[in-house]
Amino acid sequence: MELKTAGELMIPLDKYPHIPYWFSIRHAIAELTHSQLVIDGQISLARAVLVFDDEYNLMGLVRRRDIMKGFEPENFFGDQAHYSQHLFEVKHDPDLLEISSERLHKSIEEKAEQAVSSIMAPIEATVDYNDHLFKIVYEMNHHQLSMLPVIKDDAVVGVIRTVEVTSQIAKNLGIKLNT
Amino acid sequence: MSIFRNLFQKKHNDKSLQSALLQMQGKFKNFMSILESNNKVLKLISDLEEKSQGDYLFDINYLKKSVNEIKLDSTDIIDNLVMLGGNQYLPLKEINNGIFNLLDDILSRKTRIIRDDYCKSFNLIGNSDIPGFGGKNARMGELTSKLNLPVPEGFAISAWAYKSFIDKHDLSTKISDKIKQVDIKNFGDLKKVSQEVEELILNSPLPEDLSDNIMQFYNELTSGRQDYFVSIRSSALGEDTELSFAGQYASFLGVSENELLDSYKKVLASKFSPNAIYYYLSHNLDESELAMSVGCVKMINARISGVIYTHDPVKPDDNCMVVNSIYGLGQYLVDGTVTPDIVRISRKDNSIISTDINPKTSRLVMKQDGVLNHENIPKAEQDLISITENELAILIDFAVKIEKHYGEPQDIEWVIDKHGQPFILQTRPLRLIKASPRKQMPDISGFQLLASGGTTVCPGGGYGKVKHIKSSADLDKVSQGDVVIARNPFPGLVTVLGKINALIAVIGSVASHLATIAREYRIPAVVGMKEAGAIEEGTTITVDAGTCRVYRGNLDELVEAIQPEFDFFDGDPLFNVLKKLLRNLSPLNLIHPLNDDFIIANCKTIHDITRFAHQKSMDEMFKGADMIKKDDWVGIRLKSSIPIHVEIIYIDKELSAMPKKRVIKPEQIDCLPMKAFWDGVIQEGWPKPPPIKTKGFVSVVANAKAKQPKGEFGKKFGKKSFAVLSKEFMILSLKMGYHFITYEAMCSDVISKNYIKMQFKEGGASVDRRIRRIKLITKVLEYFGFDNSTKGDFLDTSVSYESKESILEKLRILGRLTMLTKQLDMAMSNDSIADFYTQDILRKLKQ
Repeated sequence: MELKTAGELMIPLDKYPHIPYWFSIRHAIAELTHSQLVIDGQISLARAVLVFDDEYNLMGLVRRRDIMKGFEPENFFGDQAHYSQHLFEVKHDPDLLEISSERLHKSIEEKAEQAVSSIMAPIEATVDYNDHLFKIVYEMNHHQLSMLPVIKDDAVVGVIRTVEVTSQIAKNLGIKLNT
Repeated sequence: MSIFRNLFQKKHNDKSLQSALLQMQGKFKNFMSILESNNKVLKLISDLEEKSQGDYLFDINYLKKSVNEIKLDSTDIIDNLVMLGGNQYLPLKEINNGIFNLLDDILSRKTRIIRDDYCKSFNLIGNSDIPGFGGKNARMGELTSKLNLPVPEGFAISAWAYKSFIDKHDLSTKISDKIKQVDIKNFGDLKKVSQEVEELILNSPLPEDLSDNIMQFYNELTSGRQDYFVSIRSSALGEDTELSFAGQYASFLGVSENELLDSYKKVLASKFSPNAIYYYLSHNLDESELAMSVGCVKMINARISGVIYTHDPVKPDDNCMVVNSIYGLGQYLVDGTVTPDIVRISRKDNSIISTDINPKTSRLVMKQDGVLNHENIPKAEQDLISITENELAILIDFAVKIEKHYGEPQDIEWVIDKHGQPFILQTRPLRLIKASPRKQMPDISGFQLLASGGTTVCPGGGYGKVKHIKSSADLDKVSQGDVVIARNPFPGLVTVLGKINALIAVIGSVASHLATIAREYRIPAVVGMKEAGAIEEGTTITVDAGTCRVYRGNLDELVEAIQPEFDFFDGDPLFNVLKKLLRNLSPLNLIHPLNDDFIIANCKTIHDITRFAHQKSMDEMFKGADMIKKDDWVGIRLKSSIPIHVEIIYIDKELSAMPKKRVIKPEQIDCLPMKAFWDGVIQEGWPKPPPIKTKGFVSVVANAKAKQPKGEFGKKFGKKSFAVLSKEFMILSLKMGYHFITYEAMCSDVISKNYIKMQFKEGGASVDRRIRRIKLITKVLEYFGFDNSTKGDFLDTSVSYESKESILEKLRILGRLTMLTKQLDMAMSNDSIADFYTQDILRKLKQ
């Protein structure tokens, strides 16, 4: 069986959405909405946006779930939510809060303008450009990650996702891809 | 060492700092002089362009003065650029001088005669030979070589041949001296000088090599046949181009071998006929600009001949072609001896709209020995139409092809020989006159109608005393303000066109050469008005040329009401001089500073020189500033909430007048444009540092940078930003990490001086992302009225001629945009997201 390397399987960085850390959550959402990745003829939306600092150092990534977290009610009305949670010692139910839709909308807008660095997740693992498939699978399983940055000569050159990994495994098993 | 380095390294109170500052200020004065001269040149060119639209009157002195001022300023620009950037810019001087030599030639209207063969066959010449062989010859060649249309075989004798002849006997000076003394209002004087010059030419022998060459071509053409005759006709370099010169020079028909060389000289001499001298002196032309080329064309013994106008010259909206046809050679048509048959053909479907058959009492034919013979036409044939429908169809087909080829209405001379073979003898641009809608007509019911009928040559009205003219001998009796009634429109009448109010020819057609000239002079004119011959000499009459009516008396209100609104400058020699000047002043060939062709050698016009000099002077200023090292310390440093240190040099302040503190705050900026720009920068602000908790992330992938493209791109600029400022002007070089931007702005109370120019270059992301960012900036700036030019990831944008307030507002916008697009290239992964950011930024800036 041919073992491909991360460099061969990855999505090159110039095809993958990335933004500076000071860009807003709204910008990150726009990046996820607008980015279309065409891999092996299949189009998919990016699952995450990489975040860099102004020196082009990789700082983290923003996934959909990080964005979701950013919009949790306690992140809107932190003090009120914690206060109610403390008083009644029950899990906070946003339905119980009396929030006007106008206020909610305004809050979402305000939250969306916060820097993406406030919600981004850390980079917990990377793979090297020359790492083979099994190493990639290991890192993904071990860290429970669905995407890893690929590093070559101390620089981020791309990302590899579970999609690329499973596609490669499918190819190795002779399963034809539906393109 | 750069004066910048001197300036930045020394301490504030050091004498050498003072000296370096003065030196810097000196350089900056060069730069400002370039800017000022640049603006003056562009304003002068723009003024000339405005005049070329025909809305303002001007004279030759205005043109000379403007060109002279442009020359002073463009020379000043180059001198200052050399002082700023060194001798590498010296070649600009040569180009500048070359352009102004050309402009001087245009203003003095000298024609530089190109060295060429003495003779060339028609099938070897085309439009590109106009400078050497004149329009008429070149078009004859073009018709046969490009359009494959039948033209008589023949050859052309070049203007270079004429020059060789003139130079050999130093005739130019002798002729000019004589012509300078002419009183063009005195026909007798014109005639006397004309005779003297003609004698001078006819008595001077042709250079031997020239006469040998002409004879060699003639012999090749005739192959020794004794019954072969040619016509020798002029093709002056200015003829049939902007001015019609129609019929002003001689043609000789039925010329045999023995007569050839003499006829050639006679054509050259006809350049100085009274009509021709009058024509070019009245058009402010100089004798020396009209070199003469000559055509030697096989004589076609015509059964019929005529002229086709591809539009009706006086009713262009009628959408028809007009075919004039007579029996015999065309001479009797163009000199107005015979009134032709006139057939109007629809341009839509080539159908005949109308046929106007006129009695054709005589014809000119060539006998077997080449002699031209006047023949009376038998009574039975006089009133028959001279041309068949089949012949019309063939000629119309030719005319359509010719008009399409030249892209404008044409005046085409044609002939059909005894065997039915058609030939095109010449084609030239047709001048159209469009009469404006008539204003409210005065009541003229009380005035006697003296004559009517004929054809409008040039619409409009004029009144005056009648002078009947039968020949050139009568021309002396014509006074200013007369109305001339001529038997036929012979070419000599041109000498009185400048002083008469209207012209009527009893016979003749719109196809005569004089008709062409009358349209050029805007003289209300009618031809073929038979009844006019009976009007008594000295009677005061009013001519309404548009309706072909003549009234007794002075109907000034009628004249006022029927005056056509000519495009006054169209065809005017001065206007044409202006157009030629603008061709060398105005076009911009150097478009983009990054293009390979943005070099001195490609400066073809004065606009190119100003564009090049402005760009290079900016580069020279910034080049000096780029030598500032990171640790250098300029006298004044701008410190604000934005972590970009801008080193400031004031060029309008003495060292002692500079702020004592070496660090100034934004509010202390003593420069209107810089202050406005920085306000915009601060409004958007600099990104806050990343949260402390994120620092740990970096360590996970230490040094894991995004891969940068190789080469110059993606390098982080270690150099400092700097600004050179005065109260109303700034140049600012901003190093923004991975890209740099230069700004230049003038903001004063004088709108014409004001402008902003910005150049944006490079970036940290991949090229496609950088290009997307440039596109975004371009779209945003377009919205705010900037004029953009891009190449790859380089943007050159500017705005000018705006009020002080508008310039300041746009600078604030630029300041904000600068911050909003900082490292935005990183995020531009595809066109869709680029569109999102474009709209996002526009929305923000519009708020």
